[in-house]
Order: sequence, then structure tokens, then C-alpha cells
Amino acid sequence: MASDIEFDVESLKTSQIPTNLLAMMAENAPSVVAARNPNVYAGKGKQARKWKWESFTNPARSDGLQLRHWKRLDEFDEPYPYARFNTTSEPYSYSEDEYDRMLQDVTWSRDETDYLVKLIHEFDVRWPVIWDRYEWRSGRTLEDLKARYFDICRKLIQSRISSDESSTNQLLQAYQFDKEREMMRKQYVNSLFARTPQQITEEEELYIEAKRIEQDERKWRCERDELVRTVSMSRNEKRKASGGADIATSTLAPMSTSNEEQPHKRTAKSAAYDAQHYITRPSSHLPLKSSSNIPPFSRATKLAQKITPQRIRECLQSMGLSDKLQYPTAANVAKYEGVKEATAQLQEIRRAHERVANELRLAKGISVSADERATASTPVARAASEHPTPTSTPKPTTPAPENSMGLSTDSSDPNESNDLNKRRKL
Amino acid sequence: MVIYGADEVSALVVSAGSTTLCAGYAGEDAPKVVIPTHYTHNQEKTFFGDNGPDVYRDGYQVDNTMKDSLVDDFDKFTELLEHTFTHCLRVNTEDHPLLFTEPAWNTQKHREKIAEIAFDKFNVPGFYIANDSVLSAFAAGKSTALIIDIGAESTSVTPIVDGFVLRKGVVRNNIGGTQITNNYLNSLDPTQRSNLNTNLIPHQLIESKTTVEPGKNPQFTTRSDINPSESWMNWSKSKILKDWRESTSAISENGWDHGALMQRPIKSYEFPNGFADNYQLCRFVANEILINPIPFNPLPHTPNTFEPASINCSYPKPLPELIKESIQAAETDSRHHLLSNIIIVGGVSATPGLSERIQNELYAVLSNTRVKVHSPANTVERKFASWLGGSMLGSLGTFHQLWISQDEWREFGNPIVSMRCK
Ligand SMILES: Nc1ncnc2c1ncn2[C@@H]1O[C@H](COP(=O)(O)OP(=O)(O)OP(=O)(O)O)[C@@H](O)[C@H]1O
Ligand SMILES: [Mg+2]
Repeated sequence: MASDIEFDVESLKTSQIPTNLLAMMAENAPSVVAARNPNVYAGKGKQARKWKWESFTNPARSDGLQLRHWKRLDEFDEPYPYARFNTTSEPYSYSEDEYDRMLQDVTWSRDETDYLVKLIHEFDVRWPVIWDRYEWRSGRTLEDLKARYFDICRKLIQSRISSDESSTNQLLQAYQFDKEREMMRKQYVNSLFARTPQQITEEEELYIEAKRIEQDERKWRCERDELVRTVSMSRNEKRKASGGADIATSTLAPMSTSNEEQPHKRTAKSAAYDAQHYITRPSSHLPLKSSSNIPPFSRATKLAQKITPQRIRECLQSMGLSDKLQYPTAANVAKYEGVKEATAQLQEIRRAHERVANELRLAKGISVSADERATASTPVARAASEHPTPTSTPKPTTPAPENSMGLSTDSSDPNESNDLNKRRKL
Repeated sequence: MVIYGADEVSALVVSAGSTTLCAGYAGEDAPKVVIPTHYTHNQEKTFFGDNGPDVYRDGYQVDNTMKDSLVDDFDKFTELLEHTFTHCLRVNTEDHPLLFTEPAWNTQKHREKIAEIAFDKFNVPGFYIANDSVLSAFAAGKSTALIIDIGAESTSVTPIVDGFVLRKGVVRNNIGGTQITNNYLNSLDPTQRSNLNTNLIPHQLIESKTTVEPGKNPQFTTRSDINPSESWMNWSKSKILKDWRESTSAISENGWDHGALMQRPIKSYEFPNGFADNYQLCRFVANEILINPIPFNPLPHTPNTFEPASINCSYPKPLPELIKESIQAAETDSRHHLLSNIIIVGGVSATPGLSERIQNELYAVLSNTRVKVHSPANTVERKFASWLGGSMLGSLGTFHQLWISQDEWREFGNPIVSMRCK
């Protein structure tokens, strides 16, 4: 084609791009492209291609029927191009001997089996059509037909010698047919199809209701988890801290000898120097921990509480503590961080307490007002008064900040023991 | 060329229904010839097509070659085909393979007889007979579909899977354009009906007329010199009535709603003698017989005289019931596909509002949200859906291996037809 007619490539390019697309591509593109007619007469000098009304035979036919069609004279004679679409799914068939040897079945006569296989060949394994045209004996279900045919296939595959074991197995797998299961599936599909409009609407309503309940449940659990987390935080920390001390002492010996912990090799001399001057070198691959430098994961969990370093500082100042250490040795810094942590927790727990207390008051208020209207208490109010909501569980006693001071560490710190070790090394 | 799959061998496609015969070349997008299957004749002469029953001839009768969508009178049908080939298409049939369409209830005898005519009378090099619902599905670009064909004398529902008719699922009744016209007449109030009846005069009989205001008595004179036969009068009157129905009637999209339908515009129609009248509610009542024929006392079914159809008309059932029955007869796994590919074809499918109505009716009956009713956007595609499908099939390169050739016909005889055309 392209060799015969010379198109004006440039104008073709611009005219074929939709103008709105062009506008997106180039800012200064003209909004209207004056389309020049592609020069269709460029090949004027050449002769038009010759076609001929010619008869042809189709190799897909056995009778050599001659039909006629237009054919390009410059094309080579080739077998009819559509003949190669004459394909089938190549269904299985059996020989006399094979049938006698292994394909006999008490529920299927030879004639009926032949009829089935003939239909399968005729309709190229289109099962809905085969079943529709199957007129041997009423009462055979499609599953019966499939089961019989696939059974025959499997037996034939097994008996026929194949060079490749795995391909045989693959074939066997492909012809696996579980009749019971298939019938069950059909049954389900049929019962779905046979639903009445009322049943369908009912089902839809139930589904929506179930979804709603599920959602409520999730929300409720989410709230409860959050509460449990804030409440149990301080207890956990206490427990962990005391346990952590044990771990620290037991792991003290190996830790001090291991050099892998130290990223930069320290000579014995410099170590002595450090010890003498109370210098602690932070190991660079351990993240620096402090309340003002919270790692991302813990910050994410605490995001809701929004205890900012600013707030902590204010709180400390209100207790008469400055936020600068006079002697910031490692031990002091660690202790000071502990104080900050404890303050943050104190704040959190206070806030949680306030919220719970509020809710409790609210719930009580409802139940009180419900009691006042003792004659006609709404079911909601009754439920609220009889079953206290999970948010109104007894609140824990707030620990004094001094208690946890120096002992509490960041509870969300997975490298807790490392942190302790570091401290021990001082 | 191979990528488009087309290879034209200039095959001819002929599709004949109860009232219309379409013929043309495969590969074209509309039939070249659309003529009535009726013919007019006296003892010696017979006339077909445009020169047939539409022309008044003294003492001539009008008859139909077809009945119940099947060929009824094969001698006359052969003449009708000859007229089509030699006078309308002007082709030499020896050069063109012939693709014929048949309804699902065609009989063995009918199709073999047609093959015989094609080979022995017209000497075609190849012949094939295809189901018209399968072809309608092809015309819509589908190989699996549920075809609702509403023609002149019947409504049929045919499930097609992978290009094959599911025979057990074919259901039909005898409600078609003719019954709708009858129903339209019956639903008019008595004065309107008698007005219409007295003014139902074919234009061939009218000598002169003057235009009058609508509702006024028409001013016309009839020819006194002609004396038409009863069958010719029936044909001409039913032709006027058909046109009257096609141009005024419609169907309510959402079931019967008296109040809403009273709001719809009135349609007026002018008959050949100048009489004009307005039609309002009745024009909607008329088509209700399609959806549910039971309350309207439909006419009984008249069977084909050559050989009764292989699938009988059911006792007139509501259309949604027919569809449900058809779906139920199909194999479980194909139902889903069928329901989402419902296609309405046939002349009456051009009735305004029909596909929406059927969609709504099906929602109500099947309560299946996947139901989707398609109907081709332009009327040519609806009316000639099966011819169009034949035109596509007959120009496919891969189809040419399916033709029954002269040699095969000579070798195997009649049985080859059902061996090849499944
Ligand atoms: N625009 C239209 N609106 C309504 N009805 C129409 C319209 N055009 C044609 N018809 C009706 O369609 C019918 C003819 O349809 P069609 O040609 O499909 O029938 P057929 O194939 O000859 O008959 P059948 O399918 O019953 O054998 C006539 O009754 C005609 O009145
Ligand atoms: Mg038809």
C-alpha cells in the first residue's frame, strides 16, 4: 500500500492528531490545523493495481467446489488463506478394541456412547448445544454426559502410550471431572435463579444489616483497643522495666566483650580516656531515643494523644524543673529522659481519664434522667443504665510520676534491652 | 484482507418471512430487494413484487406463498424466487451460491424442498440454509444471545449459544403485526371504528378527492368501472391498516398507566380517501396484546398446509412468560449469558417504546438485575436483522467451506442438508 501512494507525511501527522490532544502536548500549537489534502495523486504515473475475478478451490473442502472471488494479480498463488481456520478441538474417539477392553459401563450402552461421542464431534464439545440436541433417552443430565465423556478420555489417555509422563499427568488433570460437585454447583445456581423478588429484597436487606453490624463491631473494638492501650501502658512499663534490669545484668558480660556493637573501633586507650571523663559515645546505628525524638512508629501510635515536647516542657516547668540539665552526663540525661517520658504518660493518662470520666458522667446523666422518667424509660436508656458501656470501665489509679522516674523506658521501644545495656556500660 | 475475515464470492442471500421477502448480495449492508411474499393471479397469469398485488387488475386474486413463516405454496414460491433473481436482481444464479434463512420451526421437508429448488431449478453452485435467529445474533455481533423476533404473524423466542439454536428453548406464539392491527381495530370505540371501516377504501378505487378539515366528512368519488375481488380488497385494506398502525401506534414503556397515557400526544392519520381521525388511548392498547395476549382473545393459529411447523405455537402466553420458559429450557450455565444478551428483532420491534417495555417486564418477572435488552438503533437493522446476518455470514472467508456444493447434492441427496446445516 504505502509504496504505491505517497502521502504528505507532515500534514498527515498533524491532521491525524485530535486537536484537543495537540493542545495538551504543545502549548503554542495552533487551535485549528488547516488540513492540506494529502497528495493522493502522487502515484499518478503508476498503473492501477490489477485484480481479477478468479475461481479458487478451498482445501478445507473435500469436493473441490469452485467459487469465484477477486484476486490481486501481483499476489502469488497460495492455498486459500481461510482454510487454516478449519480447526476443531480434537475430541477423543476410541477404536472397537479400546472400547471392549476398558470403556464398558453398565449404565451406558455401546450405541448410546457412540451417539454421545458423535454429537461431541459434531458440535465440537459445545456442551450446552450437545445437551440440547441429545435425544437418546430423556433423563440424562448434562453432568451424566460430561462424566461419561471425561471418564472415557481419562482411560484413553492412560492407555495410550505417551513419551512424556508429565504431559500425560497434565492431560489427566485437565480431564478431571467431579460430578457430585458439579451437580451441587448447578443446584446452587438454580436455586439462586429461582429466587422470588421478595426473597431477593429480603436477602439484600439482611446483607446490608449484616454489614452495618460488622461495621459497628469494628468501630467498637477499635475504641476499646485504644482505651486498653492507654490504660495498660504504665503497668506494662513497670513490669518491663523491672524485668529489663534482670536481662541487662545477665547480658552484661557478653555485651561488653562484643565489638560488633561498636561501629567505630575504639582503642583501649581511648576507652580508658572516655571512662575517666564520663564520656559516652552513642553507637551510631542505634537510633537516639528521647521523648523529643520519637521514632516514627511510636509517633504514629501517639498521634491521637498529641503530647508534644512543648507540653512536656511546660508541665515540667510547672513543677519547677528546668528543661536544661546542668551536668548532662549520660546517666543524668537518661534519667532526665525518664522523667520526660513519665510526664508524657502522666499527661496521656490524665487526658484519658478526663474523657472516660466525661463519658461516665454522660451515661450517668442519661440514666439519671431516665430514672426521673421512671414510668417510660426508653430501651436505649435502659440499655445504657443496665450495661455500662465499655468506655466506663473503672479507671486505673494514676501512678505518681516519681514512681516511674528513672525506671520507666519507652514502652514501644523494641530495642529496650539494648537501651538498658547501653546504660549499663557507663 | 485476511484480518477482516471477509472474502466475497458474490453469494446471494434470501430471507423470506410471512409477509416480506428480502434478497440481495452478501457483504452489502441492506437488502437490494424487499417485496411482499403475496402475489396476484388469475387463471393464466401471475404477478409478483412491486408489479404484483399493489397493482389493480380486473378479476385478479391475491394469495400468499408463505404461511406461518414457512413456504406454503412451493410452485408459486419458485416463481417468486425466479422473479426476484431475474427481474429484481438480474443475476444468473449459476454464478452465485445461495444462502437461505429459515425459522427454527422449519421442517425437514421444507428445507429439503428448498434445497431441491435451489439446485435443480436455479442450478446454484452452492447452497446453505441458516437459522434466521442465529443470523440476527450475528448481525448484532453476538454468538450467544436470546433472540425475540416479532414478525408479521408470530413472536418467537430463540436461545442461541455459540452460534447454535438450543432447540428445546424455542418457544413462540402467533401474535404478530397482523394480530396487533386486529386488536387496534377492536379497541376503537364503536363510532370511531365504523367511521374507519366505511372510509377504508384503497387508493386504486378513488377517482378524485379534495382535502377537508380533520373530523369533517371526506369529499371523494370512487371509480365505478372496476370490480375488485374480495381477496384483493382484503390485501389492499390490510395494507392501509398496517400503515395506519405503524404510523400511529406505540407501547407504554412502564406498563399500563391510564393517567400517564392520557397525557401523551394524540396522533392523527389520513386515509387514502381524505378522511382523517385522531387516536389517543387506543394506539397504546393495540400493542398490549404483544405483552399479554390473554385478555384480548387472539385469533387462532392457522397451520402451514405443506407441512405443519416442527415447533407448535404455544397457547398465547404473556411474552415475559415465554422468555422465562425459554431461559429455563436452556442449560443452567448459559442462562446468565442469554439474559444479558436479549435482542429484539423483526418488523414490529420498531414500535416505539417496545424494548424499554420488555426490559421492564423482564425485571419484574425475573428480578434479575443482569437482564439487558438490546435492540439495534436503526430500523433497517431491526427489520432486516436476519438478512443482515446472512449477508455477513455469506461473505466470510471461513464460511465458504460450509456450502453444500452441486457435487455433494448429487452424491448425497436430501440428507446432506441436515448433515451440513445444523
Ligand atoms: N415501523 C414499524 N412499526 C411497527 N411495525 C412495523 C414497522 N415496520 C414494519 N412493521 C411490522 O412488521 C411486520 C413485518 O415484520 P417482518 O418483516 O419481520 O415479518 P416477517 O418476517 O415477514 O414475518 P414472520 O417473522 O412472522 O414470518 C409487519 O406486520 C409490519 O406491520
Ligand atoms: Mg421474520
